[in-house]
Order: sequence, then C-alpha cells, then structure tokens
Amino acid sequence: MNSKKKLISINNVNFIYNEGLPTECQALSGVNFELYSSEITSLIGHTGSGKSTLVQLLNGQRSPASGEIKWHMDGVCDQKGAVIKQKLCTAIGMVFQYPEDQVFEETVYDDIAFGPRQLAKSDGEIEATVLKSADLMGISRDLMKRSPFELSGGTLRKVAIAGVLAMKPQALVLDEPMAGLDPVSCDALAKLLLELRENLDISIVMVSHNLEYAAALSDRIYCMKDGRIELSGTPREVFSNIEKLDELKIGFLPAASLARSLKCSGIKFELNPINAAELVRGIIKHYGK
Amino acid sequence: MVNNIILGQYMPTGSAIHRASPKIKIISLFLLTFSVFMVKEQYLYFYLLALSIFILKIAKLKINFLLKGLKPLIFLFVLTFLLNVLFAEGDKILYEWGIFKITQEGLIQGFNFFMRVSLLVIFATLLTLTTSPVELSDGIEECLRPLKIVKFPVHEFALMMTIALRFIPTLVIEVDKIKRAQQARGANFNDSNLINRAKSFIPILIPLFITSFKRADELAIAMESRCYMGGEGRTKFRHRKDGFFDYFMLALVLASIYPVVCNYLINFHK
Amino acid sequence: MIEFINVNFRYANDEGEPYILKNINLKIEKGELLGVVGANGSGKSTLAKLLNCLLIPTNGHVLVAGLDTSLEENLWLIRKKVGFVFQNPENQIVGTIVENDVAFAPENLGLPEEEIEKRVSYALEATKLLERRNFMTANLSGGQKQRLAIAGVLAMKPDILVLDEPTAMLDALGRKSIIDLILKIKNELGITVVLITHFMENTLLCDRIVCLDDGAAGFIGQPHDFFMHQNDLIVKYNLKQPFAYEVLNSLSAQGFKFSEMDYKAAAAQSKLAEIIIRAGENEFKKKADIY
Repeated sequence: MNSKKKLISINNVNFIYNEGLPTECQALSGVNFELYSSEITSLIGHTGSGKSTLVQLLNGQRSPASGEIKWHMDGVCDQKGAVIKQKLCTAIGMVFQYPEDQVFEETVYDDIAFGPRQLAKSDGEIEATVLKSADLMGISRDLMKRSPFELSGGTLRKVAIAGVLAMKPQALVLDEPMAGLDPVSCDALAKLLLELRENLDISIVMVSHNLEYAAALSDRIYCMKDGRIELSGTPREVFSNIEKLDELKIGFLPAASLARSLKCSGIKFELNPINAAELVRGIIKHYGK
Repeated sequence: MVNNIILGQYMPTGSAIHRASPKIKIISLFLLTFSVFMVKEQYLYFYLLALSIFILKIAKLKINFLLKGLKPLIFLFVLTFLLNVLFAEGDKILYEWGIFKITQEGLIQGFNFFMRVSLLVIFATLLTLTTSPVELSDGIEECLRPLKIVKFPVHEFALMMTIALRFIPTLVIEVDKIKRAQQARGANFNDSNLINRAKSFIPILIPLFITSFKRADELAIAMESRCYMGGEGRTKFRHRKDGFFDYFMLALVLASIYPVVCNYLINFHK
Repeated sequence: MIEFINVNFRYANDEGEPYILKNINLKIEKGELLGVVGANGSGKSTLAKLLNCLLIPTNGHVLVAGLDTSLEENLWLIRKKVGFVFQNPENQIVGTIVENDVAFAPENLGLPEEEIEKRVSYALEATKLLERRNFMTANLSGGQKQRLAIAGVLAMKPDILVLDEPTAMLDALGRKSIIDLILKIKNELGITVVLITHFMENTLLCDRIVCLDDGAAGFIGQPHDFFMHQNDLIVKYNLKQPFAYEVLNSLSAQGFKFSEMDYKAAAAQSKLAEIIIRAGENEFKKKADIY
C-alpha cells in the first residue's frame, strides 16, 4: 500500500461567474476539498452542481474569487510558492468525456507519443514512456502499430487515456470515464483504474453520475449541489445516508436502498452494504447460515 | 439553458422589417447593392447612408449594431483607402514623396471605394440583423427556386445550408473540446513560428474531420429512416406566403433607389 | 406484426465472411415491448436494422406488417411504419429549431401543411417538448435531444418503434426520461416497441426479451424466466444481471427458495424486500423446526 500524500487542498473557496454582470452566478460556495495520492476520489453531482468549475480550479484553469487553493505537488510551484501554469497543466492529466474523439495520429504508438513529444524528450525516453503507458492500460504490443481508427470504442478510449498517462501526471482527472461504454468495457476500465491506483502513486479523480462505479472504486466521494459540497466521505458513509441523497436528488444505490427496507423489517447488517454481494452476505449472516 | 441566438448577428425586435418575407429582403439587398455601384455623384453615397439609417430605425435597432459589424473590417478599409490614395494614377498632384503620389483623382477613388465597401457591409448587416439564419436559408431557397428550370439542385442546396447551420454550434463546441484535450497533452497553439503554428492545427483538424464524416454517415442513415427520399414530393412546414405588405416593401425599396438610377442614366456618358 | 423467418445475415456473400445472424425465427406481437440483449457485437444492431430495410437478410425473410423487407417496392411503405431511433442523439437531428426538426419526416412524406402542423404538435406533446417547440436544437440537453429524435419519428405515426441503445450516451436523468417515454409510448399509443439495450435493468420493463447468442436466438421469452434459468448464457456473455435478480440468484445459491411468482414480482423493486424476508423466514423457521 503506497503512503498517501496530500496533493491539493482547497479551503473555503468561492467562485463566481461573470462577476458584476447581470448573468452573475455563484458556481462554488465555501468548498473544502482535499486530494491525496494513491486514492480514487469521485465527484458526483448534476449539471450545474459546480463539479466542472471545481475541476477547473484544480488544474489552474480558473482562480477562486476567495478562499485558498494550495498545490503540494512536486515541481509545480516556484520558490515563492506561486504555481507555474505550464507545469500544472502536465502535472494534472485531464481526460475529457469521450476521449477517443481526440485521437488523431496514424498509429497507436504515435498517438500515445504525442504528449511526450511535445515535452521534447529524447526518443529513448519517449519510447520507454509510451510502452509503459500502454502496458498500464492493457494495450498489447501488436496494437501499437495499428491505426487507432480500426479499434473498438473501449480500446480506443484506453489509447486516449494512455496518451494522457504518458505525460506522467501526478493526478489524473477523468470526466465520465464510463460514458457510452458497454458493461463489459466499463468493468475492464474500472479494473484498470484500480490497477493504476496500485501501480502508480497518482491521485485519480472521477467526475461521474455513475453511482455503482463510484461506490466500487472510490476511496472518497464528494457530492455536490448548487456549488456546495453537501455530502462527503467513504462510499459506505455516503451511500448509507439515504435521506441526504434523496434530498440532493442524486439517486441511490439499489443495495443501500434495499438494505434500508430490510432493516425496517428487522434484518440487522453489520456493515451498511453498498453492493449486491455485501447485501447478500449480510442477509445470510443475519439468518445465521 | 436560455434560448439564445448563437449564429450571426440576428437581433429580434419584432419590427415590421423583421416580420417581412426573407425572400423580399434578400431581393432588396440585391437592389440596394446594385444601386451602390450605380452611384455617379458622391453625394448619393450619403443619400444611401441616410437610407440605411432610416431602415435601421424602422427595424428598431441601435446604430451600435451596425458599427459592431463594421469594426472587424476597419483594417481592410484603411488599407485599401491608403492603397488607392497613395498609388492611384492622376493628373492633379497634390503632394508627392518618393514613389507615393497623392492626386485628387486618387483621393476621390479612395473615397468612392471606402463608401462602396462600407455601404455594402451596412446593407448586408441590416439583412443579418433582421433575419434569422433559418429564415435566411429559407429565403435563399425561395430566391433560387426559379433556377430549377436549368436543373440547379435548389432543394439539395437548401438542405445543405440547413444542416450546416444546424451543426455549426455543435462543431464549435467540438473544436473547443478537442483543443482543450490536446492542450492538456502539451499541444501549443500559440507558437510564434508560423509554420509550427499551422502544424499545430493538425491535432484539431484530423479528429474534427473524422468525427464529421462519422456524423454525416449517421445523419444520412437517420434521414433515410425518416423517409427522406430526395427533394421530389416534399412539402414545407410553415410555408411563408408573401403578402401585400411584402410587395409593398419591395416597391418602397425600388422607389428609394430611383434617384440613384436616374442620376446614373443622366450621367451615363460621363 | 413482425416476423423473422429463418433469417441469416452476413455483410458480404463471400466464402470466408462470418454470419452475424444465424437462423433467427421470431414473431413480435402487436403492442409488445420486446428487449434485445446480448454481448457487444452479438448482432443486436444488425437485427434492428433488418426491421426497417437498412439491411436485407442474406437468407430468409423479415415481414413487417405482412410486407417483405427484401422487396424493393415495399421499402418506403415499411420505413413509414417503422420508426428508428439511434444511439447518438446529436446525429439524428436535422433542423435548427425543434419544431422544424419534428416536421422533417412529415415533409418527406409530402403531407399537406395542416396535417404536418397536427403531427408536429402531437409528437411534441407526446414527448413533453411542446413548450420548447421554438428552441434551437443545439441548446437542448442530451435527454431532450433524444426525446426530440423520438418525436421526429412519432410524427410519421409509425406502428413500430425500434430503439438501438437509446440511452447509452445519456446521464441517469436522461436515461430515466427516455425509459418513461418508451413505456408511455407502448402503453398509451399502442405502438409495438423493439428496444436494443445493454442496460440489463431495462429488460425488466419488457414483455419478452431475445438474448442473442453468437448470432443465434439463444433465448426468447419472459425476462424473469431468463434470469431464473439461463445462468449459463448470462455467464457466457458477461451479461450483468439486474440488481433484483442478482440478489435473488445469489440467495438462491445459498439455499433460499424463491418461486416463479417471486421472480416476476421482483421486477418491481418495492416488492423485493418482502420477498426476501418471506423466504428468509421460511428458511429460518425450517431450521428452527429442525432443532
């Protein structure tokens, strides 16, 4: 287990769009947020909840109106402690929605190499980086010479993510990484994200509506509504709080909701279940099997 | 999300001109353009300018909007004005310096050119300010309809315009997304070296082309599934029929360019 | 309403070309909501495209309301009867303004202006887009765009609606609105619906489902029957069971007994707790009796 390091801390941050104009709107209010290495963090919330704005603060695209944001990552700040935008850009890898749309090179190898090439590394270094990223994403060597456009959606998405990993980011932010994928590809990607957490020291942030994967993969979850963080904690803590989730209209995990109904009828669970397997184990334990 | 106007400079104010037939407005634009080139005596430029402001007022629009439309072209205006003034041939030399000659003819030519281009832009802007992109495309289709006789593919052309208009906002968002994604991978679109800057657009253009082709393919299949069989036998939803008011407006436009035409005919031999 | 008779399909009639669909025999009843599931690449979309003549069977026949899809003269008659909605909402919308887009199909059919007006209003009302009729299509959300795509198809007054992964690119809210709309269309408008989906939760709404097994119809029947008895297919294709059935099947493997009625009722999640408690009590009681 890698030791966790705090990478970014956000304290009491506010952000206002179009300040002073008639279209002024408070996108973030009093937000507190911490990002740690070797952790998967999920940001859940509907459109307009402030998730995208929060992400834009993380990668330095925007600055808060008030409050503080500190980056504790290597090589990102100068001696005075001010953040260097270019370094931050590569330190925080962004994977946008449907990242396969950004792939353009003639071969898989070249596309993954695009990032490293922009950083003007030597050929040897580039090759090592590209191959490592491909391995991390489970892309086999014989795919490297093929045209990316021959690949299926799920595989192409892996190539796109490998391209971002090749920049050696300290944090990886993925916007709806499971969007549009069939269930088998979703599971495969989920597995890869878990492996990334184990093999690299990076912090992974998933911005997603998908509660099942948020529950299965995250170490920490933040639920946002109207620019505020309304609920945060481990998946178990968050998804057991059914009243709050209902209030936020975020939806619920079927396992947590069923557990609630069963509890009302007398079944006692040791742990609040967040998936079917835990739920079944809990039921069987209760009936003393 | 607010139903806002993304394309062009369309400013709906509900004026009579906004409500007029797009076809008539396009024809009016042609007539006014025509008249701009028929001006023989300089004062008529000011007459046309006054006419444009009059139209602007009926359309309940502010002069700001016109000026906004002209702003991007200021550089072009000044450049061509200077070129005309400094290099035109003429007899009455007013000032000379090396290869630069400022002649009276040159000044007049420069002024003519400046006024013509300004008026053209002003009249075109009046059209786009008072006509939504959808209406414009319908209007262009109506105007081209007679060309069916010479087998011009009017319907296909109009459909192409409609689909292009429909996808412009989508493509703008897509370009922005691809640009940000490539920037996140270290792509630099602000290189001072022009060749490098041109090359830097490849990571945007290629994905854009590929998604556009895929898009076109899917859209074609969707259209066929909705029984699109070509232009034959198609009817039109909300077919705008021109009424008395529209023809009256056309008559007014003809009347307003009458002085220019007369002046042209009178001065024809000069 | 729809019949597949010994249908085989492959893209090219060459020696080495594999068959995507093998010997499909299927009858879809009028007013039914049929789900089509199977692994990615199992032929689900291909099956759907055979319904509106986007593809023609290599062997066998597909009859839509009695019309053979392989006969050219039936092409546009069939396309009028079968509305097709695709996965990507963005790439189905032709018009810049909502109501103009909905009018596209009636315009293609050469209907008179008043009829087009009626159909546009009807379709917009059914899809709850009436207040947005003058909106620019570019400003709609994903779920709204997909509703618009469905409206565009409803304006043809089709007998059948085929939806190919209609919710795959939508968020949870969008997915729910489309599923609600599909149920409404089936129940209130009496349209036969064929739903291709990889979200197994959607199968719970279907009257019957077809599971494609390597191009063949591996299972045709009711959803509860599939999840009760077809474990091998479920495992083979890595299909995710809907949550309710995952729980029942896991408990079943541990000795809990559930009846067919239980499986049928479990589709409504509200009954699930009751069913489990009852089965648990029986087991517990049995154990207590033994001691």
